[in-house]
Amino acid sequence: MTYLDSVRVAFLNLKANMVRSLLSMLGVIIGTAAVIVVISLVNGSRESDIESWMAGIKGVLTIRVKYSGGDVRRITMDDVEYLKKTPHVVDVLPDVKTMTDMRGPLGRANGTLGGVNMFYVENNKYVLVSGRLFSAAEIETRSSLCLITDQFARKMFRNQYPIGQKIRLPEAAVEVIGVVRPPARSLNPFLDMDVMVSIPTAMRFMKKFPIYSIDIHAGEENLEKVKASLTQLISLNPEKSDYLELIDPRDMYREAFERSRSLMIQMILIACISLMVGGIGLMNVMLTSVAERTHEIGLRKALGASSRVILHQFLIESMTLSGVGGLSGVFLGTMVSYSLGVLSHGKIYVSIPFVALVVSFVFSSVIGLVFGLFPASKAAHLSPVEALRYE
Amino acid sequence: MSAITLENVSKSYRMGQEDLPVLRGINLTIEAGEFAAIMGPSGSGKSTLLHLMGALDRPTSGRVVIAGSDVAELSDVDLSFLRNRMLGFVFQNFNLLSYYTAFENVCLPLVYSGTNQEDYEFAKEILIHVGLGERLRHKPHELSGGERQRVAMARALVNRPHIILADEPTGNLDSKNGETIMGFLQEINRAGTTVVLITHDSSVASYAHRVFRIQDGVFQ
Repeated sequence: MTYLDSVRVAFLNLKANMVRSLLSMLGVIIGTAAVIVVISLVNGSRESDIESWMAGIKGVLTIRVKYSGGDVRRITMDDVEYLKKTPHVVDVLPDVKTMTDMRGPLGRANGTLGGVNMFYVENNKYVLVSGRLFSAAEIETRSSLCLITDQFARKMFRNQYPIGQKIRLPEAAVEVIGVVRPPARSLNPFLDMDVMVSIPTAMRFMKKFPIYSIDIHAGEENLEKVKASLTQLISLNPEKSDYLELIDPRDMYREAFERSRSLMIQMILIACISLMVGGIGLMNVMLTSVAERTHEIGLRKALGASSRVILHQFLIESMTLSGVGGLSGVFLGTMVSYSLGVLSHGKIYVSIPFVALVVSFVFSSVIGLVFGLFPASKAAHLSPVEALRYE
Repeated sequence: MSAITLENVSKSYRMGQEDLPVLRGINLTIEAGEFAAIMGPSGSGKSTLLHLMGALDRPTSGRVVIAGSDVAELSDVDLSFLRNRMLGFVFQNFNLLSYYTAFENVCLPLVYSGTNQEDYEFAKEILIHVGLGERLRHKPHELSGGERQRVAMARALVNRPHIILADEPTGNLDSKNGETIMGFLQEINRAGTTVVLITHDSSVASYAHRVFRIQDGVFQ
């Protein structure tokens, strides 16, 4: 019996028992789709993480306060000034940020206020929508000027033109000079803020808020030099090394990347369990099919089919079922993944590597082979006489 | 040369704790080219006898030799080859596959023997010969009982077998269709093919050169 004919018989049976075939494939379809969706989501978040981390950490080092419990020391403004003067350091960005109550001409709104440096808008891929950015002088001083996000502008000023408006804070007021739009998917959600002011301005508002972390922009080419001198600075100063640590974000990135890889493997394993369950459903249907077609198997043997040919026929049938199921699952999974991406307006980033499609399809076919083995061998070992007698 | 030889063949089935003997010490030789009939009431063991002669089953004891080969010495693949090339089966209930057309049913043995275009042409010729030239693409449920048995006949003949084994081929047919089928069997036999027929109908058995009567697993 040719394989082509086996495949044809498989499709004929598939068609003859449409509902049953669909139900048996459903498990495989859902299982395969689950694998695809999981891969696309985890892989998507990995890829977008790579993008944002790479953009955010280019030439950046972080010094942060060690968490030791009890009385935690903070980074002082003197520290900030000192770090700024370290050779090759281009700029520093202390993490000064707070939620605060703000008032505009139309009422109050809550928002995040924080200090930014020259690189902030560019590094985080913000786009200037209207107005202007800070000048070099403005960002170095207590300028009482601010940038706001387009979202916050709508919240605070509704239809009014925001440029030139005053936002009143508990201590003082700042004037809006520009509106910026953050990317659809934030590069670093922890750094997102609604109102951006210069660091000296922010420090003024937030005297009572401590600085726990500070980013040091060294530029890519000087990163290693700065890293070496800062390491030395901290380790040579027992008072500083007591509560400060230097972090290379690339190390954190590598760590997170490793973690996401083991997460992906775990998720895929879980998705594979659903594919296994699909395989068991398939086995059940194949057993029913063998029982129903006992008479046919006897006839085929009487007409010259050997046990091996019957085994192959039923294996091909179960692999056809799981293969068609797998193909549909790959299609469904791809559709669901991209729909998630589109429906979330790009907030959920999906990416499906082509190899994942191929591997899921092959794996679902293998499921058909494995779970078809028992029913097929049952069919192959039927005695022709018993099978012919069976009605 | 004999087509089929049975030497002291016994067959029993296990029913719970007991062995139920169906055939006891059968000796039978069917010569090549012969038209033989085996007659007996239901339960006499005649179908079991035909299954042994068709290499569909193995005897409990004794020797079954088909076309020169001892069935006991053949592997599963050899047995399949024997059934495919040497033997042709005609059943009482036709045994056509419902999802195949008449032509595809006839070609089923070809699927297991490896085929060329000539074989398919031959399959078509036989169907035309049995008067089903217009019914090639019909499914079994679109055919009458007589037509279905003619398809089954064509299927038995498609690999040019040496021996045709027919188990009550007219059992489910009216007398007119039964005569047509018997006419074909007679014609096949005249062309040189050995025919072994099982029946409980003496008018059907009268087509045969030799009639063996079996009762309770022994010839009378």
